[in-house]
Amino acid sequence: MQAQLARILEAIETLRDVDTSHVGPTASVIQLENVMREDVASAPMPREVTLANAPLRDGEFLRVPTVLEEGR
Amino acid sequence: MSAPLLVDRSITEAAAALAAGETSALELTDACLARIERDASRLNTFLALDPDGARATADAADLALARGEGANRPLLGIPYALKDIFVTRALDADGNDLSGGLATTAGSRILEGYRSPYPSAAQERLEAAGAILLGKTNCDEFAMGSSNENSAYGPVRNPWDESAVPGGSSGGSSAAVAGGQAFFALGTDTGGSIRQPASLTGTVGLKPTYGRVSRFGMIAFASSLDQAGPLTRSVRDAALVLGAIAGHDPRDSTSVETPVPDYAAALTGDVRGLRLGVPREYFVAGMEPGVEAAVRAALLLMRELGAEMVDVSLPSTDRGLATYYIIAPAEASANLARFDGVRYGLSAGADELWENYTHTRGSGFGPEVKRRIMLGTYALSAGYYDAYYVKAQQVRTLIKAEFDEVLGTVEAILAPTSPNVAFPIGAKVDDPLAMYLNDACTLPVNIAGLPGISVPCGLSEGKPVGLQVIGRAFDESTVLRVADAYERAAGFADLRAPTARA
Repeated sequence: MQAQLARILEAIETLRDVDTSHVGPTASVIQLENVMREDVASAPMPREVTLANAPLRDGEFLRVPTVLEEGR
Repeated sequence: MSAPLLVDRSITEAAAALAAGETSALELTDACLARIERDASRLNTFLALDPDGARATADAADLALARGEGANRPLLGIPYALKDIFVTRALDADGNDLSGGLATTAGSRILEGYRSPYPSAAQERLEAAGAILLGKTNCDEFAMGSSNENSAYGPVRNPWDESAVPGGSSGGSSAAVAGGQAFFALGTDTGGSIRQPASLTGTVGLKPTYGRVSRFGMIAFASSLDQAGPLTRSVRDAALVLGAIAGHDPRDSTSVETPVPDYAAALTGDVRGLRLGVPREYFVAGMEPGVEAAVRAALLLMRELGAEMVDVSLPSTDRGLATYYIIAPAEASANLARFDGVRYGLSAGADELWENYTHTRGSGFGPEVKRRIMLGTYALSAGYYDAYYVKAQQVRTLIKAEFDEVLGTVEAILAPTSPNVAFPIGAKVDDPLAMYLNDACTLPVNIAGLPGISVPCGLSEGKPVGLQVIGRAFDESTVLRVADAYERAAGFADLRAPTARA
């Protein structure tokens, strides 16, 4: 995989030759402005539905492996 | 060449047979299911099927057809398939498995058995249109690939030559449509993933303008490039499906509030006086001679039909690949961070969080997905951000400006879809760059966000070749009109794969 990544990077680095001193970046092709909606309350997804795909759960909670260990 | 069987014909022809009472939605569904039963395990086209649900939907469609509702609902009673990148509702309101609910995997082990609590916008809209969902089609993992060989569930075989790839990443969708297993299928196209497989399987594949179709419920790969669209057996069919799925959706803030025209009404068959550009940079070195010959013949035919052919130049075309392989992996690396082994999907079950991340992602993602996450993370990292990511976005500006300029003088652009026909399974798996070159003619269109279609333009070495028509933003009507006029005149509309037999 290392050799493949090196070859891909080599191909990508050809962009260095392109003169872009006078152009701005394009993040999105559509002229996005902030999209706002009314702040209307609606029913959230039921807890059981939200948890149905959880690999590990504990009652009504997601079970997460140890995040903080002592001394870390 | 004998006429194809009904199961291998177009939506338009099947709908006419439904309207005339010559067949029923249930018969069409059973015909697709019989073809699936015969061929799907060999071609590996489907990852999930719902035959009972499809038959129940067909019964309902037949009742609606009997009430005369088919007149302005062209997809009523038509069986179709969804690429397994669109989520399909598989849970009820209590979190229990819905009977017949289809799992969604995105072709990845990390989502094996994932049951979505909600449907994609595409599924909702096609359900409202009365189309019949048969199942979910195989695809490259997270839509990353050009051959369908990156699926965690095995490669798909091309109905034209079962030792060859069907293209990708919507390879299951293209093979299902080419093989008479569904009248149409939805795919997604980030760098060519609808058009290239359409080209390699002799089907029609339409990538709409970015923002034309809601991406809600489409598992994200590269959010500024992804777009959903149909794979069909005719240009008219593509117009009908686009009409059903296009339009603004408040749940996708990048879907645009532009009115949806009657796309089928644009198919006049007349291209006289239309100015069509032929970019010289798209006839690239390394293009197969048979492909070039088929595409050049198509250009001649368009001239005979009265279009004015104009030589044009898109000088930054050869920068498309490098630009794409910075922007798409960068966006993918961010999008795929959500697969953390905690909330859903595969979990390695390690005791410690960091270990759980690395083991889950290390065993859940395939090599191409890992390659792109690493490339993208690298391109976005401090110290390289300007040199890679910002640079690619600047070149994106140049590529888009060149298209805008050319499309200011011509109404559409004609080009090859893929530089080659379907290649043998395994031929390019060890050389990612060679694989990426498959999309050299399609990915600039995504970078610029424009609509593009691939329409069959003959055979080379017995395998299909595609002609690409690229248009102005939100002008799918002209793209479809040009492709339809070509399809009518060229006489390839009834070409079918060897699987199209009783």
